[in-house]
Amino acid sequence: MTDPGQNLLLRAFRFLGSVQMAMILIVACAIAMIAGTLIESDLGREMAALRVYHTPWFWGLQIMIAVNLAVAVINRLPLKRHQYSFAVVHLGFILMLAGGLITSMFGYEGRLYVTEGQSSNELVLNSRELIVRGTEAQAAMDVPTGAALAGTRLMEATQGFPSVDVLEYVPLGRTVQSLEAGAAGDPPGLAYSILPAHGPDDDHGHAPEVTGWLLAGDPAAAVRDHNVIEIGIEAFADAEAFADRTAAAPVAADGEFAVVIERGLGFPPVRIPLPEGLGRTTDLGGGLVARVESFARHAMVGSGGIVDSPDGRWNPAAVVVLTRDGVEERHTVFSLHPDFKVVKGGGDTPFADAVRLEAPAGAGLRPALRFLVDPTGELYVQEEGPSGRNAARPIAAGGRVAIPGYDYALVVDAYHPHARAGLRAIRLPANGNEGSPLLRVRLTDEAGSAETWVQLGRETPLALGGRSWLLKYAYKTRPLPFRVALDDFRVEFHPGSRRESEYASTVKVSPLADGPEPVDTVISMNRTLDYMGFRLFQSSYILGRNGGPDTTILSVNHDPGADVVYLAFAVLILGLCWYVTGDGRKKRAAAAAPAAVTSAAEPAPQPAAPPQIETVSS
Amino acid sequence: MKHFLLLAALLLPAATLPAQDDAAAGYRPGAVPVELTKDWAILEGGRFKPLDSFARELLVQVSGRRSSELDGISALELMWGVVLDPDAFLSRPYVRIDNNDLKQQLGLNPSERRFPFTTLAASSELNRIAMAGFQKDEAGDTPTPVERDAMLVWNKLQRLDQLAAGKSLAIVPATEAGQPWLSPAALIGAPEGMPGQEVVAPWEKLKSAFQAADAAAFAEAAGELGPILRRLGGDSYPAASDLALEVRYNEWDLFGKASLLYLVGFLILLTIGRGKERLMYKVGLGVVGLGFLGHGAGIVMRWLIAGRAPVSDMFESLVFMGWGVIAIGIVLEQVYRKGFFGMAAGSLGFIALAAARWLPPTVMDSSIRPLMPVLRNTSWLSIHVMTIMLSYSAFALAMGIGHIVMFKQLFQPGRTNQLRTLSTLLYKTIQVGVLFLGAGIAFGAIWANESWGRYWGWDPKETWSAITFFVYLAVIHARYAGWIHNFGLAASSIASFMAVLFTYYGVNYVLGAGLHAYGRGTGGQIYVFSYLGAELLLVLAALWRYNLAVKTGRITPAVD
Repeated sequence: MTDPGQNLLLRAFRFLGSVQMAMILIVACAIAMIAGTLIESDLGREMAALRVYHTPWFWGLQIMIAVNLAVAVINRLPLKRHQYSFAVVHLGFILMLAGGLITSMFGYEGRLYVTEGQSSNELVLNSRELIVRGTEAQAAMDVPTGAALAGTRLMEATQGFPSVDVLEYVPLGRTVQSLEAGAAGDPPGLAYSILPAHGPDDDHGHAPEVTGWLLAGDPAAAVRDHNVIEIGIEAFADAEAFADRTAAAPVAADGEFAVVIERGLGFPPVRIPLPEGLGRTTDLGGGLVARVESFARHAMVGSGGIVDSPDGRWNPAAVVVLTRDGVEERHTVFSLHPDFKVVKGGGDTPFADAVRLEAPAGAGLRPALRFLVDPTGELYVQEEGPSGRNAARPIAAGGRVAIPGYDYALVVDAYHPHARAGLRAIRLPANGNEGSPLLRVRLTDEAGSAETWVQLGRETPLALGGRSWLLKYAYKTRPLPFRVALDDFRVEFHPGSRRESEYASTVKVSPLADGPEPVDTVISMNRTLDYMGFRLFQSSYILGRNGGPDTTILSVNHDPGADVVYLAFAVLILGLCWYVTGDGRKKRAAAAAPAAVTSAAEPAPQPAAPPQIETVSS
Repeated sequence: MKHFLLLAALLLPAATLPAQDDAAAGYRPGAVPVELTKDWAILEGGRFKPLDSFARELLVQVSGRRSSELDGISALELMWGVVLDPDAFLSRPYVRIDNNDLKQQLGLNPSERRFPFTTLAASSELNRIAMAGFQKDEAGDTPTPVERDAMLVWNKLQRLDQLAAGKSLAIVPATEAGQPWLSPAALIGAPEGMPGQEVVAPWEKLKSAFQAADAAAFAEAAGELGPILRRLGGDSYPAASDLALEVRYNEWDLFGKASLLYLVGFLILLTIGRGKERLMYKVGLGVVGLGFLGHGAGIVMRWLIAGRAPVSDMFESLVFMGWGVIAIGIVLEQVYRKGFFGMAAGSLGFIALAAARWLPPTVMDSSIRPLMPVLRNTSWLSIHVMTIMLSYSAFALAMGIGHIVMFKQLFQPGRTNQLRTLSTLLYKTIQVGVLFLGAGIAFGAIWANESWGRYWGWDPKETWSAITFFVYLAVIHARYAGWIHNFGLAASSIASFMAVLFTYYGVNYVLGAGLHAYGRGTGGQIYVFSYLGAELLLVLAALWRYNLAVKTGRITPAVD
């Protein structure tokens, strides 16, 4: 009657609920957890989750435990009285695992950022996504955290979009943009440093060294503005255009210098051309005379007035003296800084409405260094300044150029006739607290493939075969069914210290569509809010700068499994109490000592009997 | 800034130090009734405490002596000496240095343990080593043991220096509630009309009385100053009864006394069987019970003083675990009445309390400190910690019974009745432990969910408590399946306790990860491995004797 196949199935089923199976699972689970804590200690929380806690096999282990717990009870049906506690304990565990499963499947949590005076319903989750944005459309794809990411294909090539692969994942790191050698067809680029002209042990103080790089043709990297000087690079494909550009081109200043005095009150402005008018007295009428006492094109302000230092900066200035009835009013004016007026002497009222120095058109040019690349890839450098352009001259890596007008020099650190702006990743310790997660992403389409590093929270451009894409690696967001408006955020500190004692958000929470009544309340460190199945906690904050509005960070949690787990706890504790205080004893004593007729262990309390102490001699 | 302070310290005493050796040598301890000041309140370390506690903590930190006196001078007197007569007191050897290499590098006698402030403060070498250590610390590197000790010594010197300079004796209440309190020396020379001025005159009297060893004048000045301080504080001044309670807590040293009572009780119970069994049994249990009362009273007092359940650090949880061991042991002893629970509980209670009370202060901090704000206002935390500690107590008790089995096997192999009895006791204790551990884990999960919305986060401490739970589950199931019998159960109870120790102590000090971390590898691995080795030896030796007994037929394993 017994079919061998059925027998095998039955025995397999019995084994599922056996103590042997239980031991195997208990030991396996304990070893897994120990491994998890060791991994966390060495490699950080995220790695431990990736390698152990969120893996399919760990989940499988837990499911097997639940199966074993259930079948163990089923195998012993119908239960005898002394087995009830064991069944209740097993049920409690099964419920707990079920609750955990519900939480992992349906529960989610995230952060809500709300600024004072504003409201938000956008929950920032902990899971992440990669957004690939093209000129017309964008695609978003989940970036899983529960599996090894290297070599994962996130998206197949579809209409208009390349395929997206993750080549590498770095738990904590930083991206740094730098110049690197490229391939034929790439534009030229160079890297430079700006140093004090007399070397690092210059006693003018610790001037910081500035480094930078340039990439021809790149709108963000072809020109760099260093405040006092602009540095740029330009590549030429046409030899003639190049020759034109490299030639010297002094600027003929169009116009002349002049001091202009405005008296207002219907008087026309008076112009004193320079340098012809230097030293001459001009009658302005009404007893007022003007005289340009000094004029300098590279003026430096000294104690007596201005002096011309021909090696110094281009800074045209003049000293104009206005005199009336023997009272002198001295104006020092600068053409580059028309708002900076120095007036000395004079009476109670100013003699003139305005005094200024006009410079010829083109004479206020900022200094610049232009790097030019000829069609064969040779590098040249050219200075630009107020007097126009010098002739370009060749320069190579290691070459040095003085910065016109300043006591600094630029050194070419590296030059690549074909260069690329590469994004490099710096890996940081995974169990530290610096850096962000990084992904190395590759896009592939008919034109080929290109790859780059993307940092969590940043957008990175990537060009592929003429099309340019924008990659963004970010936290996923999810709309909440209610809106939280922040009226006020407050931080309290322990008296006389910078340690926080409390922080609290005064909020108004209202449903987006039909729902419960809106709520006005305070969420603080020790006070949570339950609303529409969500629980809101005060998690952190960002203080507004310069007295601006603060931002509160609330942690929002939706966990349908928590109630199941709470129920499981109650069942489990009751079952354990029952187990400890009682009925299971007989079964265990019988199982442990089947041959013993009388149970040697007599745990029942016998207050009347004298204490039975076994002596050494007996 | 650090350099500057110490430099100032270097200059000040050296500049004003005449030949004080005569005065120092001639100082008579107890010449001045400092006990009059022991219940004055001071605001320090984030809470109000009596000067008695402050003085004791100072003595512990500086001299490494957890007692109330040093070289015949009371802690309170030492404190007043540093404050009121620094020239005399700072040249006495009070500052403890532990590391012998450091002593050698500083040119000090390695067989001495304590050195004067003045000698050490003048040592630029000490300063250099300490600064090197601080820099390494800030950069995230690990200082060498010599540097670490130098840093500790530097901190001790800082503390004394600040006291001597009149900066840190904050006994004068602030004008507004919640503001830091002032030191009387800070009020000398303060502008007219500043509140607290009336403190200056009696303070000066106190000072000269102390320096002149004039008991009557000191008593008079103290009698003036005490009430002034209380009046200045108004409602914010701690109640006299609270301060008195803490002074009594310090003086009674209940944990130390309970520990000794447990030892005596254990020894008495050990002798059971040499005649007068019933009497010795009752006496032994009675002594343990007396210790238990004192122990409990100490916990209650600490609870009242700290204003929260005393389970917030290593010291408090260890004390509580000791209490749990005795409590559970007494209950189970009443149930089974074999004397074994009394012995196991007594010995373990003694060990736990002795460790808490007498381990060096660098390892065990017994001062009462306020809780981090994030942990306040939740009773779930206290419930969780207490339940977990009770489970550790039960498992410790089981381990104790296991040891009794091992020793009996070593010295009296073949006592089958006892083996079976002990085995039953053991099994019951483990069951109790599993119940409390399961409940404790559940309470912890509830607390975590209520506080930040996540009932389980795989934090190493959480995970290790689950591992411990699984370990004991494995023991229970192995026993149920008949794979281990009586001896096996006893050996398992000893081995499984390792999991408890790792969860309690290892996660913080060895793993160095997670929310509970104190830093990897700071855990005194030598002691841990010695302990493991000793336990292993014991089990192996007992196993060998057990196997001998089985071979010669005196024990039948399936039954026993």
